[in-house]
Amino acid sequence: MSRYFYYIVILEFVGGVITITPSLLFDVSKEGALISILIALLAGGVFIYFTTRFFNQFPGLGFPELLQLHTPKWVASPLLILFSLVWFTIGLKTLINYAFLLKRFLTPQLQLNWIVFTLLLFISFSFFMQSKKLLYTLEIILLINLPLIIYIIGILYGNQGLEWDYVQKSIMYIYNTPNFLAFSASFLIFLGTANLVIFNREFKQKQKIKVLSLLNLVLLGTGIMFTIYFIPFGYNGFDRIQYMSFPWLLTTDSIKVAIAFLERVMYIFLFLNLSIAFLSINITWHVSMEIFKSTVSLKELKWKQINLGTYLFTLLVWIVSLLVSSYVSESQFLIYSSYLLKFLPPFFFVFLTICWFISWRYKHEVILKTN
Amino acid sequence: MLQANNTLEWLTNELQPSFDLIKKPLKNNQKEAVLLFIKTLVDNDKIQLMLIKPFFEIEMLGSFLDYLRSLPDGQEVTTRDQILSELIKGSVVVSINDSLFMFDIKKVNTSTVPTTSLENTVLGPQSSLSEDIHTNINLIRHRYHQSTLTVEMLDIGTKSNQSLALIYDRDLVNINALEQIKTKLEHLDKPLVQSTAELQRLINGKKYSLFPFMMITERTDRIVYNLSSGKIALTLDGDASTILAPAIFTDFMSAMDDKYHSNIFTMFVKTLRYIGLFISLLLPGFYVASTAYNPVILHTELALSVAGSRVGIPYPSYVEVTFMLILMELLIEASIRLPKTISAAATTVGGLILGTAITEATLASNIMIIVVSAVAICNFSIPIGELNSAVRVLKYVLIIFATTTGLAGLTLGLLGIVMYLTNCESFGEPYLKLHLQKKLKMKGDKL
Repeated sequence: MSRYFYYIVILEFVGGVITITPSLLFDVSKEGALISILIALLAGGVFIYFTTRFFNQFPGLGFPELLQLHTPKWVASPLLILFSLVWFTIGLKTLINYAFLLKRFLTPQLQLNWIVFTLLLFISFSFFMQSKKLLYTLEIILLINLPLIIYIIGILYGNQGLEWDYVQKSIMYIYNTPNFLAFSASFLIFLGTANLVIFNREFKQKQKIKVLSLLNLVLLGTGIMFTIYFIPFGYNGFDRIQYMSFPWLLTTDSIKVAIAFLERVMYIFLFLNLSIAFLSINITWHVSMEIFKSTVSLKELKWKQINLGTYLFTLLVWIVSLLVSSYVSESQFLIYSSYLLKFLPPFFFVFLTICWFISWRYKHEVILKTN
Repeated sequence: MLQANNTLEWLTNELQPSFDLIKKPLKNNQKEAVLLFIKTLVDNDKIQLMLIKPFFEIEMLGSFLDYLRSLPDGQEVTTRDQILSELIKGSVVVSINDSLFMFDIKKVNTSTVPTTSLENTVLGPQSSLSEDIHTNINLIRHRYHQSTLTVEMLDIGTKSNQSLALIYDRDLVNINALEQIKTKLEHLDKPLVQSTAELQRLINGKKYSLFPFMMITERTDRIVYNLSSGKIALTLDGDASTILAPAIFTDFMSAMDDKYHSNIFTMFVKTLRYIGLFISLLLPGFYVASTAYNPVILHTELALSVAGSRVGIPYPSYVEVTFMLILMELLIEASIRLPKTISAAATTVGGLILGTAITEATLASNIMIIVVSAVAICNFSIPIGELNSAVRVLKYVLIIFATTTGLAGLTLGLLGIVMYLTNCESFGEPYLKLHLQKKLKMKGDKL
C-alpha cells in the first residue's frame, strides 16, 4: 500500500488517546474492558483486511462512485447522505471533545465558542484543499510531531514512577464478559482505514496490502491500545481511575522532566494532540464533504464554475459546530458520544456488507461480459 | 529581397533626429558602401578593424563581399522591422552593391562579472552574474557542457524590448512548467520590465502571494545545478540575477554550500537553519502566549524571572513584542537603505544604545530584548532572501493568533501555515511535500 494509507491509519491510532475511549474503558475496567479490547483488536484487523482488499480491487475509485455504479439511485443517494452524516458526526465528536480539553487545560480564560471558532477557522481551509494536498499535509505534520511522540512514549515507559503492580492488578480482570461499549470504543481506533472511501481516489496505481504489513499494523494497534489502557493505571492506580474526566491528561501531568525545555510533559502532550486532533478532524470532515458533494443533487449546484457544495458544507459545519458547542455540556457530550460509538460497529458491518455486495456485482458483471 | 537603398533611407527616416545615428559612405576605387549604425551602441574600434580597414585593403569587390559573408558576427537580414530592432540594439548595417549585410558589433559596458553579494558561500565559486545577457549565457554554458542545453531568446516589454533568455535542458525539462511559463510570457503586456524580480512578480500569477514561487539567484552554480534537475532559467538583459522555476519550499532552505561541505556538517547546518526558521516564526508568539496565558508552561524559575523582568512595564506583552519587533524591522530597513559607511552607525545606535535604554526605561523586559535579537539573527539564517522576508511578515500573523487564543492559536497557526504551503503549487509542482519516492522506490507509492 502507499505510505499515505499508513499515515491515515496511524493517525487514528495515535488519535485514540485523546478521544473519550480511555474514559469509557476505565469505566468498565473491572467488568471486562480488557477482553473487549482484545476482541476489538481482532475485529480491527479483520476490518482493515477486508476494507483494503475491497478498495484494492478498484484503484482510483472512491466509494460514492462505486455505489452509484452498482446500485440504483434511490438506494445510493440516501446511503451516501447517511455516510456523510456519520463521518460528520465523528468529526464533530473529535472537535467538541478537543475543545473541552483545551478549555480545561490550556486556555481556561477563553470561551468555548471562541475556541471552537478558532479551530473551525483553520479547519475550514482544508475543505478547499484537494485530497492529495491534504495527504501531503498529513505527512508533514506527522513528521513534525514524530519527535514529540517518541519523547512522550520514552518518558512514559522509562519513568520510575510507573507502578507495574497496578497494571498487573488490572490484568486480573480479564475473565469477564465483554462489554459492547468498551468494544466500540476500542474499535474506534481502527476506523482510520475507512477513510479510504474517499482517499482511494488518490491511490491510482494497483495496490496490495501484504500480510506482514497488515500484521505490523495490528501489532502497532495492539501496542497503542495497551499503552492507552495500561499506562494510566501505572501512574494513577487502578481503583479510582474511573472518576477522572481526562485520565490521559492527568497521567502525563504526573511527570515532570527537569532537564527538558518544557518541564511539564502534559503541555507537550497537549501540543501533540492538538495537531493530531486537528488532522483527524480535517481528514474526517474532508471525507464527509466529498461524500456530500458526490451525491447527485449537488452536482448541479454550480455558480460561475465554482462548486457551491463546498461552501454549503462549510456553512453547515460552522452552524452545527457552534450550536452544538454552545448547548452541549460535558456530561451530555459523554452520553451522546457513547450512543455514537455504539452505533459505529453495526454501521461498519453494514458498510462491509455493501462492499461485499459491490465486489460481488463487479465480479458477476465481469463474468457476464466474458460470456 | 529587400531593396538596399530604399531600406537604408527608410531606416534613416525612422531614426533621423537622433544625434548618434551615423550614416557613413565609404568609397575606394570602384567600390562604394554605406555603413549605418548608432554610435553610442556599437564598438567603434571593432568597426574600424572589421569593416573599414578591410574595405580599403581588399581590392576586388567580389572578394570583399566574400569576406563580409565569412564574418562570424553576421546576422540574417529578413524584414525592415527586424533590421530596425537589431539596429537599436547595437548592430551595424552595411549596404554594398545593392545588398544588405548586418553585423552584431554591440559594445557592452555591463559585462564585468562581480563577486557574489547576496548568496555568499565559504567554499565554491565566488563570481556571480554580470548585467549583460550574453556574458551570462556564456557563464552558464561554461559550466554546463551538454548538447541538449537550449537557449531561447524572446523580447519582453512592449516599449523596452528587453531580451530574455529561456534556458533549459530539453531532455530533462519539466514540460508542463515550460509550457506554463511560455504562455505566461506571451500574455505579458507591460511596457517596461526592468528587473528579473519584477518579471518574477508579473508571471507568478498570484496577486497577493507572500511566499516566493520562483527563485531569484545570482549564482551560476545554483543555476546549473537546477538546470540539471530539469528546471528552467530565465535571464533578463540588464539584470545580474536569474529566475529559476519551478521552485519549491525546500529549495529556499538550501544554500549552495550544502553541496560542498561534508555530509555531517551539511546536516548540522540544515538542522540549524530549520531551527532558525521555527524560532523566528514562533518565538515572539510563544513569548506573548506564555506570558499572557500560560506562564505555568515554563520552568518555574524561568516563569518567575520573566515575570520579574516585566515588573514595571506598563503594556501587555503583545504591545511590548510588537513594539520591539517593529523597531527591529525599522533598523533592518534603515541599514539596507543607508550608505554603507553610515549604516554601521545606525546599527550601533539602534542595537546597543536603544536596547539598553529601553530596558532601563522599563518599556520592554530584558528577556524581550533577547527574544527580539534571537528572532533577528534566526531570520537571517534562512539562505534565500524572499523566504526570509515571507517569514518576517508571517511572525506577526502568529503573534495575532497567540494574542487572541494563546498557545492553542499559535500551534494552530503553525499547522495552518503548513496546510497553506502544501496547498500551494509552483508551476504544477507541489510546494511543500516530502520526497521519499526517489530513495525508497516503494511499489505503488506514487501519488
